[in-house]
Amino acid sequence: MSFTRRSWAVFRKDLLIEARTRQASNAMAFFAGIVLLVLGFALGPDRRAIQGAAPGLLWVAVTFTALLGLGRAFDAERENRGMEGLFLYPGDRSAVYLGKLGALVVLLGFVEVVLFGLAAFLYNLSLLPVLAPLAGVAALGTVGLAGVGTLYGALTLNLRAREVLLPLLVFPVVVPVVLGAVSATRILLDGGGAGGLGGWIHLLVAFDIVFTVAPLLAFEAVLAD
Amino acid sequence: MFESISYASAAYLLTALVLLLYGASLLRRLGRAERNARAMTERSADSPDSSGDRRHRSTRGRSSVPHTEWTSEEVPHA
Amino acid sequence: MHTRRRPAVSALGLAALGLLAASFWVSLKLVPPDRLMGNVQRIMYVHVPAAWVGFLAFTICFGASLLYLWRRDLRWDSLARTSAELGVVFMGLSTALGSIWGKPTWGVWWTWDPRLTTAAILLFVFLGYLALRGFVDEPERRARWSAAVGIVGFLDVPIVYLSVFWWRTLHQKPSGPETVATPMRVALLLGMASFTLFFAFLLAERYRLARLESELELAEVSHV
Repeated sequence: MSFTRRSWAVFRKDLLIEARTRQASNAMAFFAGIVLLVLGFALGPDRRAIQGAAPGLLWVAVTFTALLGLGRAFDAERENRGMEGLFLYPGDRSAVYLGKLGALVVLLGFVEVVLFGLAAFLYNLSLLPVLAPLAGVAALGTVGLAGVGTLYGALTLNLRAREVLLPLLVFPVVVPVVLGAVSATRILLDGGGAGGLGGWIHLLVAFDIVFTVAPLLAFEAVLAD
Repeated sequence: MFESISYASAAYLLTALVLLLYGASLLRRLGRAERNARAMTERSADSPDSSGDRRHRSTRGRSSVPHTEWTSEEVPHA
Repeated sequence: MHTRRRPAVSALGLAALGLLAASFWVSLKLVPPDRLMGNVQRIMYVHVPAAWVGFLAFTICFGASLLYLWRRDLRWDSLARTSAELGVVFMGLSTALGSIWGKPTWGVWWTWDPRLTTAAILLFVFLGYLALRGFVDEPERRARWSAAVGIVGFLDVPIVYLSVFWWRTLHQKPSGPETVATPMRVALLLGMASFTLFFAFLLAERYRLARLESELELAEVSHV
């Protein structure tokens, strides 16, 4: 089985499981909604304050939701010792990484549609004029978060304290993604004078490339058990 | 003026405390570990079946751990 | 296994201690206070060396992690683990010192200065490194996984710095540090030298402890 086919198999399996059970996506969407609500309450009734903080609020919600999703991404593998089953052939591990990464990005993408829609409603944001570039920024940010998270998620898979360890490991590394995504979103929502937008996009792209390629290569060596 | 002196003093005090306390605790832990190691080698030097077991210890096979396999003949000197 | 305390290391420790004491005396008594900031500025002579040593330690951890993955010799893992711990101590100290310096100088305990923020993030990366190690029992797997964390985390640092720097310049002028006059430069260099020497001593002793712990762990496994 070739690398591509193996990745596709893992990707498809994860999405199929999710499509049938909807366990993770429901939890994530619900959680994202709660985060947005709480943040809205926390900032009080001042609409201008909320609109000023909106890019940050959005990405706080996305980041926390992504962490939740990461924790669950390996649930199937954890419960049935599935990781060993996935790793039967050499070259399997990197394929698993890619497949899982893809599935997580798609899942997060669906949740983000709900999330952004809800935020637009709650915070009175006008997203439609900048919908396409915003989707692009969201995609770049999501890939960055998921790229790092899938690697660390695999490491902490069987550890007792994984619910604490996973955010602790992931968050410092993905700071550039959060900064970049928030800044780019802010530029877009402020009426998109593209001053500086290019720089942030470049940063996100560079990060995404480095932190999907590096884990892809590392997965094979690091998880070789 | 007074305030600026007390900030600087706090900083230097903190530095001295951290460095000295860490160093001291490190030396204490080290001393304890060395005593433990010494006690272990003396203990296993006495037990009859020590050397064979340790030589064929199975690890994952990939990591090379240097110079820890000693036989009962080479008891290190304290 | 050699259980005798090595005299060279002890000498190093004493020399470092002496140099530190001398450095403290120079920084606190000999050097004149800064014209603008007064005595608070003296904190620089411990803050900068601590940060420098922290960064040096993390770099050593990065290198040792790479070497472990390449050579699979657990000694490299011991070195990585040692330097990570020392890095956390020194970088943590440096962050605290920076905060103490910042309060009277800028009026705030914390500022999102790029270097300060990057240092804090680096601190968290290696706190995570140590935390992960605490939960993995099997030595070889622990070495592999923490090596991955050490490498990925360290590689991220320049990207973090860049992103925080851009993020800051969007909203505020970055608060630059001062230029350093000559007697101050001497005090700073003395601080750097003494901290580095003391770090070398701590590294040697902590590495030795790590080796002893590692061998003890393997011996316990074999006796089960």
